[in-house]
Amino acid sequence: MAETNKWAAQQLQKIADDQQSFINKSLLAAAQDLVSEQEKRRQQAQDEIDGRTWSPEKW
Amino acid sequence: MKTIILVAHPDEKGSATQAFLKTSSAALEGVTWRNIDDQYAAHRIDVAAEQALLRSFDRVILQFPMYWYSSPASLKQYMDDVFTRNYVVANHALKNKDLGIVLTIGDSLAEFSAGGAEHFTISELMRPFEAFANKAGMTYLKPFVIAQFGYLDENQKQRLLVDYLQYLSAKMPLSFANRESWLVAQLEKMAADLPDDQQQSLNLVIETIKNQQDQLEDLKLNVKMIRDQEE
Repeated sequence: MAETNKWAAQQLQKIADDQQSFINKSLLAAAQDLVSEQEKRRQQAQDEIDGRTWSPEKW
Repeated sequence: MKTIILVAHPDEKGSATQAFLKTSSAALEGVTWRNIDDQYAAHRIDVAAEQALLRSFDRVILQFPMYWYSSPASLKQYMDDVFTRNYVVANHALKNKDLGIVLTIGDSLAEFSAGGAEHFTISELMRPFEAFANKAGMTYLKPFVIAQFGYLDENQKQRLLVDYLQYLSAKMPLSFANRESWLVAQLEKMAADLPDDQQQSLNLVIETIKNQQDQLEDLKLNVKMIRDQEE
């Protein structure tokens, strides 16, 4: 998953580098932020599921 | 979503911040920019025409620099003239619309706090607008504050631009999911105008973002289910 996000971020950066429009550059930068935030939230949710599933209280 | 930005600024053309916001807002369809001071400079305002115009919008944005902890006089004049009791209270003409405040300030936002140099928060200072929204049956949006625009670097301006466009046209509240769908719609619009190879790669990225969002929603549901079972 992290690999896919890294790839997406690279693609967005490549497109942004070719843009003249400040608005397009800004939207592409926001998309990069979004991709890394999605990754962060995915990881947090996954960790929470693991943590709660393996809680010692349930042993 | 149709949005009108009512700008109150005695020197809009001389303001770099307003120029930046005006150029940015032009990227969106369904957004109308209207300078209140120009209306007053040309002639006395046509109240009936102004009232009719406002009816067609879903979101009304009051945009101004902070003058002595409030708006410039032109906005107060406009509100007194256009927002008549009959229009606002008897006819509920603004009911269910959003009311947003875009405020520019020259001081650091951190000072607008209990114990800070300015002492009061922006929410406290903007209370009369919130009270008006309440009386009019409008949904009051969190004020959008632009502090010390001149000190922002390019990255910060890029973030500001997108945040501003979302404030104008994204579905409220500005949750992560709502911001995501708004951004995807903008990227899809952009992709249509790109050369073929870039269009293809942007479309792939858009698909990835959508898939990730679906997975995130599933994970959130799972987390909620597990939490609910425990508590």
